[in-house]
Amino acid sequence: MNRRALSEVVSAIILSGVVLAVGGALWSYSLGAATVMTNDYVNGTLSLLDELTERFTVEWANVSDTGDAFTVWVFNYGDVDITVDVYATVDNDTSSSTFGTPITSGALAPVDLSFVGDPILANDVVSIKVYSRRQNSAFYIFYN
Amino acid sequence: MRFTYSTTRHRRGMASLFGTLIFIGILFTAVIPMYLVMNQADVIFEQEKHSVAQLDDEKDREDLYFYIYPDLSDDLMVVVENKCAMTVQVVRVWINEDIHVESTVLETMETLEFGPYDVSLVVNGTYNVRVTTERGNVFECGSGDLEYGTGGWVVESKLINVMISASGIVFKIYLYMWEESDWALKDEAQVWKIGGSAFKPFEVSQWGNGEYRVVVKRGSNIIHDEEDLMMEWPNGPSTLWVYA
Repeated sequence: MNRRALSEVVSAIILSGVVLAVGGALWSYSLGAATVMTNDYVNGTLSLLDELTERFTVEWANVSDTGDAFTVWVFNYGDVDITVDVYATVDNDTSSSTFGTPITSGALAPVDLSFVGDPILANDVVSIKVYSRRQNSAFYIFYN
Repeated sequence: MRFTYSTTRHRRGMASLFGTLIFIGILFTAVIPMYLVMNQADVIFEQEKHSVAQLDDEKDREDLYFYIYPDLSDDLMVVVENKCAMTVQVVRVWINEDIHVESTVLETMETLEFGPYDVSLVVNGTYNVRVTTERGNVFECGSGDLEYGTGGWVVESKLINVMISASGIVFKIYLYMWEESDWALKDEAQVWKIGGSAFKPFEVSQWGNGEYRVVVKRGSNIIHDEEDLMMEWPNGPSTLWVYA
């Protein structure tokens, strides 16, 4: 009778110990997982927010007298800093591009594109595409 | 026997109690805070989305009209009129590729003069002027590009534009010019307005500079009579506007 009682006490202690050990591990894992998931979600939301609030436009474009230098002015009128890639295509023929121009919020930045060897001529039409690294875009048509 | 059974149930109850406490602990320290933070992030996202949509709407509703004219020393003056129901901040005035940084706020319906802006005069050179606002709009000059010719500043035509927004369908517009001691009728037109507003431009190049008067009638009633329309090009705009 006594042995049986002792065995039951031990088994109850072992059961409680197992519950505490497994529960503690689960608790610890849950805290870590919840923290990681929360951080991922908040960072993803903030990143999406930056993409949503990003605003920029092509304010002006100008070609040099010789036609081999083309400048595009991009105005970042949004609340976040941006990095842009600019592509210019002349009458669906020659093209030029400049990558990774950073523009701070509220700033106007000139982006230079080179047409050395294949200059922009009078009456050419230049299609300008500006893409941000967050995949927003702005378009502009320049008539020389 | 009965005593032994009771003890076992009590011990097993403690394990259940520990399990329940751990479950509640996980719920309150991991799951609920995670839910609250995610929910807060969603709220911030929706607020910003609404704010951005509002800014886009304000940008669409921004409306500036401006014209340019050279002053006596051949510097350019830019007259900007805010025609929308919001304040507008002008951040830049472009003259060709020259940037003139401004930071001027125009109240609703306010007209302000910017300049004088020094320009290098080139014979047969054209001067394209644009105005940029803080909301990212770029406005073109309502009176077109300016050109500098061998004889000085060139303008294609001198205009008096009449815009009628008053209620009614058929309107008669009379254009007078002050000659010697009285108003002389120079031109007249009949316009129809079907929704929105009616627009009638009067070419006044042949009569030159001087004081003009525009009278707008609906039937026999005069609904608008505006004098003191001074055409003084090149010391003033080449296009005058009348709103009735």
